[in-house]
Amino acid sequence: MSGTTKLRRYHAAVWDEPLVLEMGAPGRRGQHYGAPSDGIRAAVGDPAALIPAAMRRAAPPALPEISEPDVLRHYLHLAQETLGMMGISLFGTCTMKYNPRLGEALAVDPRFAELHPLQHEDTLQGVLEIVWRFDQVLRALSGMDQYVFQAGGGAAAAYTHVCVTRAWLAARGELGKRNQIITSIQSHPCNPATAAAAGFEVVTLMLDEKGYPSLDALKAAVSDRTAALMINNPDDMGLYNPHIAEWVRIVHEAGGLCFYDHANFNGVMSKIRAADLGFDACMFMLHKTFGVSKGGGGPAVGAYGCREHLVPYLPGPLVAKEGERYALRSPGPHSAGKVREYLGNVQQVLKAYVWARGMGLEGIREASDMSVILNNYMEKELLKIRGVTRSHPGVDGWRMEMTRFSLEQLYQDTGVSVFDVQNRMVDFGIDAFWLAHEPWVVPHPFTPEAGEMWSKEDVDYWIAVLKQISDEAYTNPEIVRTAPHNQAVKKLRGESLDDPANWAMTWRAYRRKRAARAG
Amino acid sequence: MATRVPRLGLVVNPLAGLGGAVGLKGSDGALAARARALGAEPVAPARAGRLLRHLAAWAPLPEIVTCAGDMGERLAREAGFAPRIAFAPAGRDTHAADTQAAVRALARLPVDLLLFVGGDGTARDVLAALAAHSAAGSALPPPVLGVPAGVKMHSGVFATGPRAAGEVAQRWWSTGCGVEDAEVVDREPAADGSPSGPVRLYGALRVPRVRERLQRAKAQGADGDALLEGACERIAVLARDERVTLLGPGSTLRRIKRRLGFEGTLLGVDAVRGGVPLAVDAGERRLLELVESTPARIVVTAIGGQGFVFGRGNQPLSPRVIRAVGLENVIVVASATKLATLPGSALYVDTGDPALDRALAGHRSVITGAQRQSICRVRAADA
Repeated sequence: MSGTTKLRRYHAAVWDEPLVLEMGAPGRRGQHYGAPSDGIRAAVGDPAALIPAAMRRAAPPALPEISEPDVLRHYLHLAQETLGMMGISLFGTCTMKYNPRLGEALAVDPRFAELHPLQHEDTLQGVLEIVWRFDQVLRALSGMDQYVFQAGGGAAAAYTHVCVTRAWLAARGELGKRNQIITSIQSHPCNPATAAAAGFEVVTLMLDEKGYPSLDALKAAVSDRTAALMINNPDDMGLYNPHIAEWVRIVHEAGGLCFYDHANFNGVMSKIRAADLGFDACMFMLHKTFGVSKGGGGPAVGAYGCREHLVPYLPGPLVAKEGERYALRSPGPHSAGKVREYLGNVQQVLKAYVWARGMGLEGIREASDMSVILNNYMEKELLKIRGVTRSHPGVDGWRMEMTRFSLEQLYQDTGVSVFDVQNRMVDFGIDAFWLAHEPWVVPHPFTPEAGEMWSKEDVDYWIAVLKQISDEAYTNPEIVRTAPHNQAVKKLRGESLDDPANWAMTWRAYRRKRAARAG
Repeated sequence: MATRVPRLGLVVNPLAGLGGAVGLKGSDGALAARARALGAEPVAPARAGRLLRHLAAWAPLPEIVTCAGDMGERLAREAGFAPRIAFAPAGRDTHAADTQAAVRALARLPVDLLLFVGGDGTARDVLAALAAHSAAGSALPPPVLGVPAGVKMHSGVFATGPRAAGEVAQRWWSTGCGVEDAEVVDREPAADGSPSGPVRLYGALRVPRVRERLQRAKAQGADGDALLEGACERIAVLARDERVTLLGPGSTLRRIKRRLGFEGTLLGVDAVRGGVPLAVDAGERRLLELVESTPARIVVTAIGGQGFVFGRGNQPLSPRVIRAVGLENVIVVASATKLATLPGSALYVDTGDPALDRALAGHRSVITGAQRQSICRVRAADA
């Protein structure tokens, strides 16, 4: 890091914005529509009669009565009170990426947006071709034989895998007998969660000194009850398990399936292929790795792919190329059934396809290299900051696209916790960092991930902010403990957020609870 | 929702934390004098002051009952309180006996909540004093909450900091959210007398049932507790069969004992069969009698902080008992959160029989939930 980075002055807009349901006045409207003219009435009859009686409301909905500009101002004010990706967001494990405008523009093109999934496939040839072509892209990156895009997120794709596993076991007469799924403490949390949801017992491997579970631990876990291994690699601490092919061999010998959760694909894109390592199935999150919007920016897609022997158990329909046309095909009688309707969030598949074609294989490879190089540059600089250490200090060598850091030393020295630092970061106009999935294996953890998205200047600025906060913690800890100071919302009392009396998910619940408190 | 003003007891161990700054492993006994000689500054007064400033911002103000001088009075007055004094130490330098006497005096009053400022050693003094209070047939002792100011803070009775302690106390009082048991653990004296030996479980204190009370920095995992309930039920189902089940010490095992409908011991080994207790706080000889002619199993947990499953606090589960039951019939149960925070996620055995320790070592399954287990490495402590 060269020179001294000047920290910008920043303050969020504060609007003290009311809820939209508290705004407006009776009778106020965004647009007023006059009664239909005689000509229209003569042509179509009573417009209200066009709505079938069974679908009509008995009473109008209790919507806010508000003008169009007030609606626009309201949401603009709310947007100004948030940071969401407008600062520098190195939100680790989530691989936050820019969403290219080209993909967004194509997804709202009426030729795409106005398609109906129940149209005859002869009239869906364009979208089916895109799905098929992107399937080919993922096959090339993973070595798998078939992809399906129904899952509406990473966890749904993991759930697809446990459903496929159940169907596979049922077809072999082993359902009920093989009832354990093995994972590790640092795997994507949806791996144990979906295994448990599908009725499997979860066997969790703890970490060795090297930062990943040992082969001996795996050998102790496998048995004739093993249904599958669900694992990601590298894990959330950026440590790559070099023995993964051996792991797959051990699980296969025990009779189980192997599923590669590619939640942390960025650092290994185009470097390894799940099938080459022996995996039976894998999953990509298009809303993370493939430049598609996430986190409220749009629906997600978990792309689930598998080898030939699992294709009969996939949810359908599958998109196949038959000669020069594209067709929807059922996987057959052993299918695990649908995990979501139709082809899934197909507009997101289009955006991912646009991203992949824009990047090309060389671009994807370069992005992967950049994500690892940038992380290791950042790590070197962050470890110079007082109070910052990294996980598994005894494990030499590079981390991949992210590193698990700890502020335990800072806390011991100053009493300033990782939560305090998180709150203070937003005072500088950058998003709070991600801590770690639970349970924590490192105290006071944080996990930044720059990926290929941020310039060296951006990363240097982020490092300079953390350095500033560390300096404050050692010289004026109160300013960190009482942060944020420059945000629309000040420090919250966390415990009150756990009390159902203090929060409401709907306007009705809000009114009810407020009345209960008043009365 | 409470309407009266809470009466908060406050005991400050003015020496707590003294040893930490000069690299000692505690401030217990003679270490305090050594720390002073090395130029150490006390930690506890500043921490207690921060707590009191939080309490001084309550509306209405709580009533503070404390001890004379550096054990609370001076700091309470500085924070603007006019505290009631329940105990006065004899000399200027205070000792463990002063902490214990102060706690007994406050418990007799009584107080609604006893706040103490110190470390694991202070927590042990509070535990001993309240045990004496209960043994004397007095009313139920008050719940307690520790403000971390010591060198060692392995116990589960501490808030994350002074301000957090104030917030927990306020939330507990305003919501009436009840109390729960938390373990008091401390390091045993090593050969040189310094408190650097293995962590030992000394007992449990009742603390406010507020999630934020946990030292979140050390253990984070909101679902850990719910999962552990599932694990306890899984063991309870087993303990209702015709085998003899030996249930070791610790708060995790006490949950299982309570599920089976008896209180059991926190620090001892109990035996059940068909869900019915056969022996409570049994010694080695009684356990051997029970497992001699009946198939049996042993259920133990890992002592937090260091992960010992045999050889710390469960000595009645001797090598002879373990061999009689059979190594394959040993079940370890623990929360996933506890396992994650153990150094290297390793468990330890120290039965006193090196051959048995070696046989127990290796990778073992630990039950963490109704449908969950973790594979942990078990190590012989002296290997």
